[in-house]
Formats: sequence, structure tokens, C-alpha cells
Amino acid sequence: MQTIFKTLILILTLSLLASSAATADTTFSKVTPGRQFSFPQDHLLHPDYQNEWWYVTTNLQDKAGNQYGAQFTLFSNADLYSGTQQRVFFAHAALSSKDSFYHAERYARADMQHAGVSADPWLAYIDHWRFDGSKDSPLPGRLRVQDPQFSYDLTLSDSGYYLQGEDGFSRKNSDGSMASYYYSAPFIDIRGQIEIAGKAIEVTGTGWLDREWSSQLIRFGSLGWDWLSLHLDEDTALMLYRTRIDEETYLYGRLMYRDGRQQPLQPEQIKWLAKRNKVFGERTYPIAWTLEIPDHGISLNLQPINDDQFVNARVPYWEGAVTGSGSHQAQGYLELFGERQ
Amino acid sequence: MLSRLWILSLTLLSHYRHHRSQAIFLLLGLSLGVAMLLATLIISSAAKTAFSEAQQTLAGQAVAHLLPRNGQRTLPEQLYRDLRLLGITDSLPMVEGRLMTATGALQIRGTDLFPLLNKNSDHTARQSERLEQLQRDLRVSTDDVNPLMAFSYPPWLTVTSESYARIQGLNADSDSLQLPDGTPLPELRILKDSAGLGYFLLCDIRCAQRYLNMEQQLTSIVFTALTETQQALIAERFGNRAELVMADKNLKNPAFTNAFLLNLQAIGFLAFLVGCFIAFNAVRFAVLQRSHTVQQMRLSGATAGEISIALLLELLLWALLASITGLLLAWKLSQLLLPGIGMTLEQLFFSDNLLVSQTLQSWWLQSAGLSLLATLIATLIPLLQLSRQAPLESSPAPLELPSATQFALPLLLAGGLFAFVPELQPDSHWAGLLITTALFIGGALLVPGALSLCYRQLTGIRYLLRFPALHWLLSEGHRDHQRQTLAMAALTIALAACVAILTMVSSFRMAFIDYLDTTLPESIYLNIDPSQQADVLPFLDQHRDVALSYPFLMDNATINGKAGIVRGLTDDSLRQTSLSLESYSADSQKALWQALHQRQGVLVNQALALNYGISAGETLQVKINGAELTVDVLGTYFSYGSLVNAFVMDQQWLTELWPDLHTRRIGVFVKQGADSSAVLAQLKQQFQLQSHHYTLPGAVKQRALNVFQQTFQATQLLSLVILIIAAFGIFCACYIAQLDKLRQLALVHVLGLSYQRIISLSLLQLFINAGIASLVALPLGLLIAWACVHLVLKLAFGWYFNLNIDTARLLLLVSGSLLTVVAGALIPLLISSRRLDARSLIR
Repeated sequence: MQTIFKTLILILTLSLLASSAATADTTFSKVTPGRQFSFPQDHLLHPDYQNEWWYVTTNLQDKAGNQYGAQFTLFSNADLYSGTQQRVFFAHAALSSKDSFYHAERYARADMQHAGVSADPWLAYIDHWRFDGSKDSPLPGRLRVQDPQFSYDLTLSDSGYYLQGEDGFSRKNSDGSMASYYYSAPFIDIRGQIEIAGKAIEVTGTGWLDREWSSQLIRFGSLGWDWLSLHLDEDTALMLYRTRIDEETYLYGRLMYRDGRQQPLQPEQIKWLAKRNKVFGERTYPIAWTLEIPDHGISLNLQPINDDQFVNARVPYWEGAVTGSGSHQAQGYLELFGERQ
Repeated sequence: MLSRLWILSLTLLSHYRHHRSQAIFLLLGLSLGVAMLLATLIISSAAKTAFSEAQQTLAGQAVAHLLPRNGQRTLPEQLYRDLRLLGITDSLPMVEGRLMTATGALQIRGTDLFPLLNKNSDHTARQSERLEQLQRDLRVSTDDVNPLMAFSYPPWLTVTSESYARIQGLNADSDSLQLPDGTPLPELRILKDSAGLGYFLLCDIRCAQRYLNMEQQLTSIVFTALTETQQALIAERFGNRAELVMADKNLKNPAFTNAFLLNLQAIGFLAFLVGCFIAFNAVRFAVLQRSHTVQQMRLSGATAGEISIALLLELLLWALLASITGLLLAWKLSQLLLPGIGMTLEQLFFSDNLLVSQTLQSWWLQSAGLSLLATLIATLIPLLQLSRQAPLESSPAPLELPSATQFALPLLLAGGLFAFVPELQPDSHWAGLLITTALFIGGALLVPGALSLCYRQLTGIRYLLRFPALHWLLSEGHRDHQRQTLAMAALTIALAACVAILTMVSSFRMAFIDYLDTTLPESIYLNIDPSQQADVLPFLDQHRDVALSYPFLMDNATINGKAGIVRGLTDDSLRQTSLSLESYSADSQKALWQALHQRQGVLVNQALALNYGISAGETLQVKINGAELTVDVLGTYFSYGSLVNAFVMDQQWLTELWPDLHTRRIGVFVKQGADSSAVLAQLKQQFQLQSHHYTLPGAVKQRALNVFQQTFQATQLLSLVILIIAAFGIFCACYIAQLDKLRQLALVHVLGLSYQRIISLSLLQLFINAGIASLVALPLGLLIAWACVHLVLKLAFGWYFNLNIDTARLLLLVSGSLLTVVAGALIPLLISSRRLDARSLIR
């Protein structure tokens, strides 16, 4: 779901960091339709591809019913230097509540070996931030992040995996020149503990794991996207994204059910409109929305649990926990990035 | 009223239109004095700024270092990974060393910059900002490959500061950086000093490991933040492999920098005085020549008050001009000296902080203040005397200087009393500065009296009447010496400063060599694992060429509740020679060694003795390996500036108190006449020792001496600058004196004395003056050196050394100074000799 957007965050961040050498076309494998996914190998790093990430979002509640959101993303990017592939890992983590928002980012190069992804048992880590899985897959797992201002230690249940796009080939624009391999695990039950400003809080909730990898580094003039993941109820998950790349806007949607069924949505079925904006830095972010998908009886008013979930990272964007009211009592995550006409 | 003042001011100032040389000397004197003092202030400020802003450097202000334990050279890189995985992430891996290139040795430092990108909600790490700045600085053009990646991955980039590049003669031309075998080093980029790099080449950690041949090894891990819990965790998990050294133990930069800069400021202050003397000299003659004009003004109705105001305006004008030229000169001088002084601080105190001066504008106010002060000192008395000139019909009041000797003796007496009576000394390094200043000024003011006495005695010798020209010279000198008095006083100050600095540097060099000889007396040092020692030590014990081999035991201990070091000393004369005791006879030394090894007490180093105010006979509370002891202090040994409080005890006693204390360091004494290289070759062959397993003290000594030579270059350079200023003062004084005596000399010439003889006689007179100044300066300089070493150094640095007077070099210095003075005077003499004809008499 957010994957493509995480890709773009990764691409943009690394465009700040990385070489302008466009080695992807010649050195790294290209993303094309028809690839057969193979688990558990596909839970691990794909060294032939340039970019990859593991992304977890969670909507949490404490015993008093207070809402919290926690997210963790581990990115990986490789490039060639003097004929040798060099890989960099970096990670974003955030924790939000009704009246506070904390985030942090970490960087590590692969050859220093304090970040990476390994199997048996499955582990994705950067410094002391760890996503421990089971023997060969990330779920069930345990996610631990510690920062001077916040921390969380969450136990993640198992979930079914859902291939996005066309059997996992996820196009980001209409001609598929920008695409990734992409799967999700949207039905994760969470329990654990969060800590905000030194106060430990027991929480439970739902989580969502996205996995994506690609090699298509795109030269773009302007770029932006809105991405939304929602748990409509205990058994139904919805993912939407809308990209704005150069002159083209591309909308994608998919419904997923706990029993394994999936339902792709057509752009004309979706009415997704911004209702309220807030300015952070030099950009305006629409942080409240209405969502209408009449064919599936969805009519929602979406509000953030905290307006100020602005991630002031090296590549800044807005990303935070949201709740929806109307046809469903939904909760999920919203990400807003980049240019907006 | 205003128009009258305007006319008076213009009239008085018009004097300088006809006497441009006086204006130039006046301005130069003021400017040079202001410039020197201001330059030292700029340098001091830059150093203080560098330390206070050290947190903004890439590695930040390290709060702690994790270092190899027990003499090991490196840490395994895995240890750094383990730390990060444990969450101790405010840390940077460091690989440092000296890299031999085709053009010489360079200090190279490798680290991993990626963790500096870490960031969180409301705390943007300063290092992170510095990294972003570094990336911007590195980017040569917008098409440039991303600098962080280019820096971090092969073929890599190396970067250095402008200062280090200048000192090492590096430029961005890649040909300039090659290994001795011709292998090129990574591309070098030179960044502005404001980028915060120090005196080294910064490169990626992998690059440094490759070129220093230290794959998967680190020389240290630097921490920019560390909680007590993390400290305990490091001690528990890694304590056996590495030693955590907190910054407060080994970083005392600001205090020592202050002491160093105090010396610089003292030199600047002396130069300021010398500059004032030059200006005073110039303005005095301007006053003499304008006294007739002022008398005419008074006759025309101008009041003394109006003339005072007009002269005050002149004073302000000079102050303004001096502030502008002084500031510009100071700026240039500080830019010239900053790299060398920064390097000196780095080598003395291991500070990486580059000295970067602030903006020129920020020094205007100080420049104006100093210029006003200098102008007041140099011109106020003569100008006030001028303003009080009576009208023309009165006989002009003679322009008499107050008797300098009246001031000289009390100043010398006060300086001497404070210097030699310890009870009177205030406990501050400023006390040392005041004492040396009193001695300097007192000594300089002694010169007029000495000159006067000398000429009075010489002219009283009847025999000299047989040589009319010589007698004329001496009589003239007796009357004329006041013209050169001030220049000679300035020369005395400058020469005394040079003598003092030369003596101190020479003494310190001797002390340093003594230190190296006494602390590195062994023939070979081995750095081997305790397990290997079990084989090596018996081999050495049985070797026929080995006089002694011993394990060097040293570790942390608590002394009177504070951190310190305990050393073990084995009972043998060879080891005992490695400690140089303070003031003991051979017999009492023997008794002292006996008492030490009978465990009657311990020996403390100078730092401990001075810091705790402890002397022999008193007791110390020490804690060694958890055991608390009260021990008697048997004596003190020289620690040659070591900052760490340390004491020495019997090695057997130490090992009983601390059975599991181990070391990697083995000292080996080879018998006299035996070949240490042969012993080493056998050790290498038998135990497969690599180059990092042994050290030859000779190489260590040579490296240390090289550092020493560079360390004092800046101080010596400044002292020479003062001498040059003083020589310039002589030039000014001679030039003005020659102008003043033109008619008299022309008359002598018309009466038959040739140009050459006039020049020779004038030079002889100058030589006598300079000789007398040197005679005063020599003992004065030695006295000041003694005061600096035993007062300033002791109070500021906490240690001292014995003075060593290098007679040959002192004589060379004095001879060189005299020659410089004579050379400086020759030009005005030659110029004025061309004017010595009958027309001068008519004019």
C-alpha cells in the first residue's frame, strides 16, 4: 500500500544522499509483470534490486480507550561505486498520541554491519531498533524501537499476505514505467507497551506490514502522493493511493478480507476529497478527508488523531494515525507527500 | 572659537607636511604596537571560540573515549557494532594514524559519517548540521556526485582544512598526495577552516583502515553522549577489552590554552610597549620642532586651553589612523600566525580545534580602544608640555623627561621581591605576568641611567682628549644619548624578551630530552599478550645480552578520593633511573629507594604534589583495586608536565594488592655494548612478532623531538618580530637624530671630518648604546626566564624545570641583534651623510 510512497521517500532521501549515477537500468534487476513470488525468501533482502523496504503501521489503544499510532520503516538502497555494490540502510520510526508526536530516523551503511536483514531467525535491524520475526518470516514478530523521547515494544501476530497490483506487480503510473514488487499483511493483531516522555502505557491494536522492492529510479519533475490504509472492521482492509508524477495523476485502490479475498477498485469508483488543510514548513497538507466508495457501501469522514503528525525528517512529509466515522468505525494511517496542484 | 581652533589645529598639523618621516614613524610605532597586541588578542579569542564551539565539530565535544586496554594498539571493529546494537549510539568509530606519503608524514583520521545523519523530533544533532555543511562545502559543482557517497565509498575523497593544507604544503592537485611507492591517495579537497576540520586528513573509515593497514580495527571509539547506565554497561561488557576514558580526565584544554595564550599576550603587551616607545620618540621630536610655532601662537593670543584642544584633536587623529592601520596589520598578522599557533596547541594539548578568527568588524572597538591608549601613552606628555609653552618672549622651557631611574629601581625592586619571596606571591598566573612586566619595564627604564653614567665616565678620561674626533663623539653622545634613550629602552625590552624565550625554550628542550631519556631508558618495548609473555619473559631472562626485562604495571587508582594512576617499580637500579627525583643527594636517594621497596611509602609525581600541596613526610589516602591504604609520601619525582596525578610504589607490593593486574607492555634493557637490534631480531624470529608488537624508544624520541621543534616555532617567531620592531625603532631614532643634528654634522664635515668617519663614529656611538642596552638586557632576560619558569609556568601549568643557559646561542643572539641594529641605523646615516655640505649650514 504505502509501499510505493515509501519507495518515493526512499528515492528522494537517497537522491539527497546518493550518487546521481543512474546505474539501476544496467546493474540491478528490473521490475516486470509476471514474477512468481516465493516465500519465505521474499521476506528477505533482494540484493539484485536497488531499493527495498519493510514498513509497519499500527493503530493502538490503551485501557482508557486513548488512541495512539506507531510506525516503523526500514529502507535499503544500493548503488555502484568503483564497480562495487554499496548498500545503505535507514529507518524512520514515529509514535503519536492525541497531544504528542515523536519521530526519529537512523542511518547505517551495510558494510559496517550494524543494520541489515537476516534469516533464521528472521531479523530486520538498524542499531538497537529491531524487528524480530519468527524463523524465516517477519510474522509473528516483535518490534522494538527506543529513542530518548519515546519507545515502543510491540508483539505482532501472524497475518495472511496479499499481493498488490497485478499478482504483486504494482504500477505507480499508467504505463508501469515506475513500478515495484509489493505485498501486504494487513491483519496483524498487536499488543505491547509504548513509552512517551518516560510514561509506560500498555496497549493493544491492529497493525499492517507492507513489503516492496524495486530498481526503477525515476527522474521526475514534480512528485507527490496521498496514501491511505484503513481497517474498516475486524475483517476488512482498504488501501488507496494517488500519485502525482509530472503531469499524471494515478489512483489505485484495493479491498482485502481476512478470509483471503481481494477486490481491486477502479478509479471512477473512488471519491476521495480533502476537507481540511494544515501548513507545515512551506507546504500545505490536507489532513482531513471524506471518502466515498458507493459500490461497496463506504462513506467515511477521516480525521487524524493528532493534526501535528508532521515528520520533519531529512525528507519531510506528513504521516499519521487517522480514524474514520460514518459507514464504518475505521482506523488506519494516512501519508501525504510532496507536490500538490 | 571653532574657526580659531580649526586654524590652530591645521597649523600644528601642517608640521607633518614638512616632516613626513616623523608622521610615518609616529604612525608606524602606534600601528605596530597596536597590531601586535591586537593580533594576540585575536588569536586568544579564536582559541577560546574554538574550544567553546567544539561541540559543533563533526565528532562533537567527546565526552568519553573507548581506548585499547593495556597497551594494545587497536580495538576490534566488532566492539563498535556491539555498542550500537546495545543502543549506545552516540558514538563514532575512529581510525587514526600517521601516513607516510611521498612528501612526508600526514595525520590521517577515518570515521563513518552515516550515523551523523541520525535525527529525531525536536533534537537536531549539531553534528548532523555540521555534516550537512560539510556536504555543501564538499560539493564542487551541482553536477558533482553526491559528496557523502563519494566520501564514503571507493575511490573515496579525503578532506582537510586550509590550515593543515597550508602547514603541510598540500593542494587539491591529486599528484601531491602519493604514497612513497607512487600509489595515489584519494582525491583531496581542501575546506575552509570554518568547516571545523582539524589538523588531519579526514577520510572514510574504510579508506583509513586500508591505508593504515588496519582492516576491521579501530584506534578508538568516541562518545558524544553517554549516560551513567551506559558507562556501567560498557565497563561490564567490554571492560576487559577496552578502557573507557572520560573526557574530564584527559581533556583540560581550556586551562592550558589560557596559560599558553597568556604567554602570547605577554609578548603582545611587550610589543605594544615597544611600539609606544617608537611613537613617543617620534612625537617628542615633532614637539621640539613645533615649540617655536606654539610660542608664536601664544604670542598671537591663543590660550593654552585652545592649544591643548587643538593638540587633543591631533591626538585623536593619530588614534584613529593607528586604529585603522593597526587593525589591518593585526588582522593580517593573526591570519599568518593562526595556523602555526593552532598547530602548536594541537601538539601541546591534543586539541583538534582549528583557530578561526571572527570577522574583522568585530575588532574595530578593541582596535580603537588600544590605539587611543597607545596614543595617549606615546603623545600625551609631550603634547601637554607643548601646549603649556609660554609666549615667544619667554625663554623656552627645557623639555625634560622625568628621571627614568627613579621609576626603574622601585619597579625592579618590586618585581624582585615578588619573585624571590614566595610568601608575597599571589596565587594566580597573573601574578607571574605582573612580575615579569615589572621586571621588563624596570629594566628598560634603567637604560637611560646606564647610558648617562657610561658617557659621563668616558668623557672624564683625559687620555681620550688626544683623539679629538672620538672625544667629540663621546661628548656629543653624553649630550645626545637622550635622543636614543627610548629606542635603546625598546631594544632592551625586545632583547630581554628574546633572551628569556631562548633560554626557556633551550631549557625546556633539555628538560624534554632528559624526560625522554629518563622515561624511555629501555632498549626495546614489547607489546604482547599476557599468554605470550609466559614464553617471552623466560627467554629474555636467560638471554646473555639482556640486562633486565620486566612487566610495566600501571593502572587507575583513587588518590584522596580522586582519580589517579599507580605505577609499580621493580627493585633494580636500571628501573630507578627512569624516575628523576627532585633535590636529593646520591646517599639520600639510595635510602629513599630502600624505603620505597621496604614499603614504607610511595613517591608522588610533581602534578600530584602541586595539586594536593603535598610534600615528603605527609600521607595520602589511596585506593588500589578496592583496597584502601594510608601511605607516607617519601619524595617527589619530576613529571615533566604530565597532568595526571600519579604515584609510584614497590611493584611486588602492587601485585600483592592487585593479583590480577596484567599488562601487555614489557620493558627490555640490553647490556651495555650489546646490540639491541640483534636481540629484537631473535625475538621476532622466535615468537613471530609483528611490527605492532614492539617499539624502539629511539624512534619514539625522534618523533617527540620533532613535535617539540614545531611546538615552539610560533613563540620564537613572535619574539623575533619584537626584535625587528625594536630594530625599526632604532632606525626611526637614528633617522630623526640625524635630521636633528644635520647642521652640527655639516659643520663637523666642513671642518674636515670625512663622511666615512662621521658615519663610523655615529655607528660607534650607536654600538656603545646598543652594547649597554644588551648588557642590561642579558641579565634581565635571564631573570625573566627564571621568573617565567618558576612562577608563571608553575602557577599556570603546575610544573617547572631547571633553567639551562645556552651561552653560545645567547651570544649569537646578542651579536645578531647588535648587527641588526647597526644595519638598521646605517640607512639613515647614509641618507643624512649625503646632505652634509655647506648648504646645510645656510639652510
